[in-house]
Amino acid sequence: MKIYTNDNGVTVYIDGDSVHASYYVGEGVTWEKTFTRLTKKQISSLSLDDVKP
Amino acid sequence: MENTQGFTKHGYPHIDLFVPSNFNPEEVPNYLGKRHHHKYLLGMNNMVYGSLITKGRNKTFGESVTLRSETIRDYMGSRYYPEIWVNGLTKDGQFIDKVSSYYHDPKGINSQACRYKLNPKYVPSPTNGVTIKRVTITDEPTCRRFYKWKDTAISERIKKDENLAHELYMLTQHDIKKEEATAYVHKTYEKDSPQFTTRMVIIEEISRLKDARYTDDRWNMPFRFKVDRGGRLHHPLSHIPKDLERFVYQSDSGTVEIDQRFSQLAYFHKFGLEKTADIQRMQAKKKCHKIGGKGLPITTNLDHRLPSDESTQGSHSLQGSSSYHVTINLSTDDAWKTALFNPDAIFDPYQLLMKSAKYKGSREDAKEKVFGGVYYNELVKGRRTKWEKAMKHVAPHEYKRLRFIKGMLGNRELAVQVTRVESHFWHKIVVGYMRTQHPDTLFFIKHDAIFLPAEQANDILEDISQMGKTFFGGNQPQFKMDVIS
Repeated sequence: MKIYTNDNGVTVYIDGDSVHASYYVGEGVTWEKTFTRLTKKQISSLSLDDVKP
Repeated sequence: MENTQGFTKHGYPHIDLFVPSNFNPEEVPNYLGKRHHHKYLLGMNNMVYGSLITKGRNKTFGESVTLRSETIRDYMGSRYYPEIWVNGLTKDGQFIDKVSSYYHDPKGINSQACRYKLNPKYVPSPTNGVTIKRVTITDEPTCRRFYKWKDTAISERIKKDENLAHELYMLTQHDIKKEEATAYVHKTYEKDSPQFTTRMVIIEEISRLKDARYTDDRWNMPFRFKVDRGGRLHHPLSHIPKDLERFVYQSDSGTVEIDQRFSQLAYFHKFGLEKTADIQRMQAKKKCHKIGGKGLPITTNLDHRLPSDESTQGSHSLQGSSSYHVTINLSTDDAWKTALFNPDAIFDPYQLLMKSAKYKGSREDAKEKVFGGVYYNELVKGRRTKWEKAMKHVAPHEYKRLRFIKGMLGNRELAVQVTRVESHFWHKIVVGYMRTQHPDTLFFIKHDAIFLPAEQANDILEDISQMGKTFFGGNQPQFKMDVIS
C-alpha cells in the first residue's frame, strides 16, 4: 500500500487496484470514498467534489 | 508487519519501476554499466507511466508523452544525462522516439519539455506479446538518491520558511508506541481490511519520523511531507486516525489536544467578510474610473458564475456585459455571530441549523450535512438544499455571502480558500508563536488542532486564544482542550 497526498489536499491510499481517497473537511469530519483503477493523473486531480458523500 | 513495501537498511522505501517486459538496459547504445542501470529503467518507467496519464481514459501505451528535460537531468545527473538519455535511450528512436522538440505549452509550465513516444517494439500490447514487468530497486544508494531527488523541492521550501522548518524538526522528535499500537490494530480491526491496512501503514510511517536527516544541505525524509494548495501540511501525524492518537508519545505528563470549535464556519466567516470588502473596494475603484473617465475599467470574468436566484431577488444586479455591481454587504447576523464566538451562547451554530432544518439526527451527522449541503456543495441555480434554506433562515447575510462567493470561485476553490485562512492561523501564527516563545516544546498540528505536552497546555491555550481573538478581529474563537493520553 502506498500513501500519497495531492495538491488539492486529498490523501489516497493505493492498495492494488483500489484507491481509498479521503479529504479532511475540518472539525473532525473526513470525507472518504473508494475508487478502482484510477490513473495517476486522475489521482492527482481528485478533489473534495470527488470524495463528497 | 503487513506492509507490502520493503525498506532498505537505513529505512528508504524500495522503489517499484514498471518497464516493458522485453526491455533490457544493457542493449541500449553507450550503456554505462550496472552503476547506472536503474536510470535506464527509470527512463522507461517514465514513458510507461507517462503514456497512461497523458491522455484521457481511453489511452494506450503508444501515446506520446511530455517529459521535462530538467527533471530527467536532475535524476540522471547532468554528467550522465547526455549518454543515458540523448545518446542512449532516445538515440535514433530505437527505444524512445523524440516526437517534437520544445513542446509549446501555453501556460509555460512545460516550456522546456519535449514529446516522446515509445518505439512500437516496446509498446505493451496483446499483439506483440509485450507486457509490463515490475522491477523493484532495493539497493541503498539508489533508493537514497531517489528520495534525495524527490525531497529537493520541499527542502528548498523548508529553507525559506522558518516556521515550516521548525514544524518539521518538531515532527521528527515524535515517536509512537509501536508495539502497543500494532497490538491494538490487530485486536480491533479485521486483518487486511482498509482500516487495518491504513493504520498499519501510518504506524510504520510515524515510527520512521525520527529517521529524517538533514544532510547535504537538504532534508531526507522517509515519509511523506507535503504542503497542499490550501497551505495544509500533510505528514503521517496529520493523518493519524483518532483512535491511534493516544499511542503517540510526547512526554511523561501525557498529551493534550487543543482544537478550535466550529473552526470551518469561523474561517469562512472571516474569509467571507474579507472577500466582500475586497469586492466593494474594487467596485468603489471602478466607480471612480467611471466618474473621472480616466484609466482602465475594471472588468471581471466572474459574471457568468453569478448565482441567478439572488440576482432576481435584488441582492445584486448585472450592469453591462463585462462588469457587475454587487450589493452584498458586510452586515453580520447577530445570532450566528453569537453562536460562533460566544461560549455562553445557548445554541451552537450546528444546533441553530439543526433546529431550523428540523433535523432529528445527531449533531455529528448534521456537521457532515452542513459541509456537504451548504458550504462545499455545488451551486445549483434556482435550487436550494434543505440545509441552505435553514442557513438562509438562521444567518441570511452569511448565507448570501457564502452563495455569492461560491458562485464566483466554485465550491472546490472555496474549500481551498477557507483552508488557506485555517493554515495561516495554525501554520504561520501558532507555529510562529511556538517557535519563538516555546522553542523546546514538542508539538504537532493536525489541520485545525494542536497536540502538545499536558504540562504546558494551559499557558499555551491562553496565548492561542488571545492570538485567535486578534486574528478574528476582536471576536473570541472558541477552543477546547481534550486529554489524549
